[in-house]
Amino acid sequence: MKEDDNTAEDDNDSESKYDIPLIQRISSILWPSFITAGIANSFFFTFFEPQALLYAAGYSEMSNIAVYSIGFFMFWLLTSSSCVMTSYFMKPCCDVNS
Amino acid sequence: MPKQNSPASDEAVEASLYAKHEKIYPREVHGIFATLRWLAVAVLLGGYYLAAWVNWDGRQILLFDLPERKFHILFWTFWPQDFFYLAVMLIIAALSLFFFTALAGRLWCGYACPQTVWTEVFMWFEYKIEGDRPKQMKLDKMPWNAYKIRTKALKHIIWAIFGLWTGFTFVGYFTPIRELWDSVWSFNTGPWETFWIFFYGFATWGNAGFMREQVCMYMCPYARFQSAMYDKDTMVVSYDEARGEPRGSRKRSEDPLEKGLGSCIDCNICVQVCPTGIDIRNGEQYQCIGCAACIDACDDVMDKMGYEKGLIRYTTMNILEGSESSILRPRIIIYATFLLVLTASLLVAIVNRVPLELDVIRDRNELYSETYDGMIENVYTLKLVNKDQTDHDFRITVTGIENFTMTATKDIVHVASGEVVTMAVRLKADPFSLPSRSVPIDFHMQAVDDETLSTIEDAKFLGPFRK
Repeated sequence: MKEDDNTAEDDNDSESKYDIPLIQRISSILWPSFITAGIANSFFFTFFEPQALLYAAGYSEMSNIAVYSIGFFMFWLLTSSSCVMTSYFMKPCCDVNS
Repeated sequence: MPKQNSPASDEAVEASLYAKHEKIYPREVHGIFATLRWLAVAVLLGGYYLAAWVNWDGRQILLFDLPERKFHILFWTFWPQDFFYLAVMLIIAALSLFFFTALAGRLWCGYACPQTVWTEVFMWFEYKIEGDRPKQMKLDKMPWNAYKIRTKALKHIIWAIFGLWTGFTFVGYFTPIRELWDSVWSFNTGPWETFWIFFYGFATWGNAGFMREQVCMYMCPYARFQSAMYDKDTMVVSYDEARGEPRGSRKRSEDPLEKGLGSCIDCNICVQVCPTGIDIRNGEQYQCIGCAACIDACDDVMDKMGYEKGLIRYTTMNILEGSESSILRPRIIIYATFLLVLTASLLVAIVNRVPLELDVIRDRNELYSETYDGMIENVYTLKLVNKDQTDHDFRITVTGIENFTMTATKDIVHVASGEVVTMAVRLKADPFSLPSRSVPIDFHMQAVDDETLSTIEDAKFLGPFRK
């Protein structure tokens, strides 16, 4: 969290026109990951049948809707973590030192 | 997820982060484009809420049946194997977006985007409950009292009901809506169905009630790249600067020419009606969703002033610059041609689609076996899929080799509509009549009751090496 402090303070000091609204920061992480997770989920379950996967993995019975939903959230977790990391590494290098 | 900050920097940071967005109170607008948008809202939302309830032949005409892994669209049924059609449909959707953008800018955003359409309805509730723009602003500024609590609560209750109904309908496209309806009233919906109804309801409430123009500004990829499809002949909402400037207030009776003024009376109403809070007089901006609310508002003002309408209007850069403008230009023709060809091919492909599928899987354990009477035997597993809307009996035949016998689990296989039947088939052939080690053969699946209903799947018949 310490690094975050620096970023935030630097943002505050830097020219205001480069400030990115909080809502834009949140959306830019949660939204692209939501879309890509949805696409990935539909692709994945088009080619792999949920019941066959469940059987192969040795899990007990679950409805298809449950499998799709859990799959979607797993994908969303992955894609949003990747968005978080991208946005974290986008921080200008000079900010890390200050 | 808000950033975690030390308490000291909290306020300053939040101030800088939040200060950017000020709530926009769009003024209610009437006029030809507002009417057109309401028409679009009625058709699109009406379609959305009603289509889920329309049945054809005992089945929902639009049902993306996730539990059964089948998509029912009109009287067609698509299986996961038909993914290709979905891909083509997506390409057609993208192409039409390009076409309409090149033709008249952000028509999609202004009239058809779900964000616009639902926001329009949510704003309508807001006008009805809280009053128009000045009343809403006053209400937000006043301290919390009984009236404010009552008004705000009523608005949110109605928004929430509308959102939940939207969520319910959404889930009703993925799981049969009538059954869902019954289970909702008996509090019997599955955990995931309940979750998605609330999730989608919440998203509607949040996006149409609060996020509004911020969705277009921060979340919409199309908003960022649409200008790449523009050219100088694209019809866009524009302010006629040459006619409007210099702007300035004046009395109705005054002659603007005498005062050295243009047609713009600087009433700011175009800014007040803008759902994204921009000033169209500053030129084209990516925030402009092309809703034409400013056109309606300005035309109204021009009417009242006794000036000619169209100070803000749909026009092209070329016209504003005083040159010729043409609708039919290579870009439009190319997009339109692609669009027509693709749509036509898709329809032809869907209509001529044989609703059968035959999968042939060779026995994996052994290439072939020799029987006691010196014949060569190959074993196959056949998967017969009947995607037609009615049941059929099928006959399986084989071509490609001579002097063979076929033993199948059944001679005539009954496959019900939408079902998959698996059966084993043994082929026995005389090794001396095999031309090579691997003979290409064809399995034919033919409906007994319908000559046109057949499909062919190729396979191989393997035998020993021979000279």
